Amino acid sequence: MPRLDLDTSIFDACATAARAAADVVSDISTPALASGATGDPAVEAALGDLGHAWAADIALLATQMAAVAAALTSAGRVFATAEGDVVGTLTALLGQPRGAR
Amino acid sequence: MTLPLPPGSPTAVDDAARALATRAKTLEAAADRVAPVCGALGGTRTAAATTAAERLSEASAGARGLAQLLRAAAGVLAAFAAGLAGLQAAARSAGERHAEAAARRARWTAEERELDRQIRLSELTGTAVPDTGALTGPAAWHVRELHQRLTVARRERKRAESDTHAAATEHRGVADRHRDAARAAALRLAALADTRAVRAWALGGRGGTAESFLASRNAGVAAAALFARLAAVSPHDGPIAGTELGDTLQRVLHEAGSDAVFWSAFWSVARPEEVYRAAARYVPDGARYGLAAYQEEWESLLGALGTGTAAWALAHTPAERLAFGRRAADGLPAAPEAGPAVLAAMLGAPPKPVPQALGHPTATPTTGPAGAAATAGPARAAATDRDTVLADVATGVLMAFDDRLGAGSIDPVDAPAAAAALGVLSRDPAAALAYLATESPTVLDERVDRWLGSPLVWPDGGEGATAAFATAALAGAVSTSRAEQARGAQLVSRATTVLPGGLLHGNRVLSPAAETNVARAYQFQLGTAGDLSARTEFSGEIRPATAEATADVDGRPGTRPPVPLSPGLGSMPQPVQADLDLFRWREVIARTSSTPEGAAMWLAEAANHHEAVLSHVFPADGGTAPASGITDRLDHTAAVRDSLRDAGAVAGALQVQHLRQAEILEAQRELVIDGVGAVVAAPVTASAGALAGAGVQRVASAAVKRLATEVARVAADQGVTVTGDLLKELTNHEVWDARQQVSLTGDALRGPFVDQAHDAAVAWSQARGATPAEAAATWDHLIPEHVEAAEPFDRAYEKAAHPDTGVDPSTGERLDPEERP
Repeated sequence: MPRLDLDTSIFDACATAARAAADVVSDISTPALASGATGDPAVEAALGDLGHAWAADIALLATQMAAVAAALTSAGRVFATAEGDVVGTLTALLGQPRGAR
Repeated sequence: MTLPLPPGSPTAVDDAARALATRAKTLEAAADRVAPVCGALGGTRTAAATTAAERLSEASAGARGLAQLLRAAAGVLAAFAAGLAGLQAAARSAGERHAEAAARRARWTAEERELDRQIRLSELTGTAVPDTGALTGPAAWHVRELHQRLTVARRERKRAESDTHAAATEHRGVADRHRDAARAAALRLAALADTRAVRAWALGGRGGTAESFLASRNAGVAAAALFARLAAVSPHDGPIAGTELGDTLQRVLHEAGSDAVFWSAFWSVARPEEVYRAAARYVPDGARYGLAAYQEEWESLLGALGTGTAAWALAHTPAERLAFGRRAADGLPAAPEAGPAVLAAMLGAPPKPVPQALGHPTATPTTGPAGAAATAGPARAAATDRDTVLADVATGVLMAFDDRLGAGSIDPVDAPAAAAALGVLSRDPAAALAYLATESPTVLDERVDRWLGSPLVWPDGGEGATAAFATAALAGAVSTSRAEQARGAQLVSRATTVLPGGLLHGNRVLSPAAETNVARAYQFQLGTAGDLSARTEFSGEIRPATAEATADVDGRPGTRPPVPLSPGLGSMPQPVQADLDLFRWREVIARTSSTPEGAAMWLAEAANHHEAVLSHVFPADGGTAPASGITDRLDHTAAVRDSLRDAGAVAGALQVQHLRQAEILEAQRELVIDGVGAVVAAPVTASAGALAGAGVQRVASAAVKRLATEVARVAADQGVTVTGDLLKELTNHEVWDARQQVSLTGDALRGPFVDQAHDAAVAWSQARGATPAEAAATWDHLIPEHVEAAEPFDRAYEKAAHPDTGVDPSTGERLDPEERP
């Protein structure tokens, strides 16, 4: 398995970014506005529909970001500690190849 | 009465907008930080790194898409909050003015009433003039003053009433504007709930404002409605092209261009079958396929749909692209008249079959070993983003056909769409491998049988199917994954089995590009070509291969271990090999070399293989390839002979059709002779003129008359009796001529291959310190005229070229390559 020649700081930065993104995703899953704040039922309904429409994407992104955070953290640790199999770690953590369709 | 303010909290809404914008910024920052890792992983060539890069890229794209949504939603909310604040201020102002005016009105109304009362009281109590009754004295003055004050009070009361009314009107206007603003905000937010359009907006990378997004989306929805309207137009109403409706359609599509949001919204509403039907209504039958009157409009329509599909695909996920392809293919049965042509155009195929425009790399093969440098195979071309995304759509189309057809063949009506899909697939090696050489061995065989094993006459001359085949085969061969190599090898093996009875059935002629595509697919299989000679008896019977040579790799049928350089030696580095049915492979070569391009490509591939073997056997640095097993001159020679055998087999297979054609010509002549037996079978010693006068006049064919007359003349000259057999013997010469020609061709082809080996061997010896003379002496048997070099090439060449090669040992009859296994 080939190894990557990457600067460890990339992994550190990405792990931090991924964790931050995961936090954001969690944050945006909560309602942004109290009921009645817009003062219009149509706007309230549209906001509700908007959240509903994007719920699946938000949940998926949360999952992806969590996986990214975990994978990058692990890969970064492996990379930093030894001649580890960074790519293999990433692959194992991120799922099956696309060719399995 | 206090007028109410428009409800809602601008501050709360604005705070929410700011929070969303902040979150959008954070998400984008996260995506930016992931980008370097994606780039680093994408630069490697391992499947694992590719997978990891894809996952990271998906997460990054998801973050960017969501960020764009949040920013757009924040914009809508911020604008709404600002508007709400302004409206509330206006309403408050109107309310205040209304309250002040109402108070004023009340005050002046009360004043008015009081003055009225005082006037009436004064008139009752004051001194009046007896005759007139008018007040006199101080009372008169008082009442006059009261009237003056009453006039003022009335005027002020009316002004107050007017102000009240104006304030109320303004307040109602504020309420109306609030309602409009709320409705607009709700519509904008509802548009943002169209997840696909928003993702298209984000992934399309076009930026722009939320307003432009909304405009594009609305235009797409409207265009879909327009197509639905066109689909409902009766065919009896004539073509739509040139009408106002048609002009509107062209204008809308022209303006849309490659706007991903437009096309996302369009395809989220439009049904493919409606689009196909609308296209069919656009121009009448006939014009659709080339009549000049509407050709320009037709091509413009299809071009716009093709541009739109690519834009749509670039902005959607792989899963959505696959689903779209399936949906597009599933709509074909409802609109067979134009659907396949429209779908082909959506995939990028031009309205008329123009193979080069499909993007197939056009080969410029060189002939012979000397020019064997380049075979720019499809898999070597880097897939662009557009190729990749359209390949996903094409895969969806083909999978829909798979589901619909089961074990059946593609309907010729749908063939343009399938050909275009296969052509698109050929531009993305990974997609071609994933679909055509899929993981399931059973499904792989089914797909190969459908697309290569069907005796369908393809509208593109087989270019799409063969290009996909070549791309998938080469993608498997060059993969670092042994499993993918095995999949590619199984693909080649199965294709070899079914091609003669399928795509190459009968006397079908492929286009030159299709022939070269097939030749490319075998680029890594040339090492087994010589087995055709080694396993063929002089009787033409083909012996079974040894168990070792046919052992499946990883349990995958149709694969075998790497081919040794020569029996007893090791192998050069090569992918998992296809376990080929050599007789059918010979047929594949023979039937894909009918054009100069096809034949040249086969020779180029043979030359490339030969060069690769020589580079391995005679390393440029004078060393010995590791694990080659080569220890001495005999081993070197054995490896060279094996490679020459491979080259000879390929070169010979190119000639077999030539000899067959000669056989056919002779057979036809014999049939003619048998048919005019009354003329020539009877003993004839008469002169040519008598013969001609006796029976030949009854034969219509001028050629036969000439034949019979000539035979009679020869017979008369030699004083022999002409029988049918003798006549055949005297006149048959095509096969003999063809064999002579094939033999001469073999001599010509052998030379460059042997010379190439000689040069490589001499250079190798010199690199090891030998003088030129010593090196030449060492390898003096590697010359075209020496039996050591000529024999393996010639024997393989002759066996491959001979039509009798390929006899069933059990029946003694020629194997039928077109018989389905």
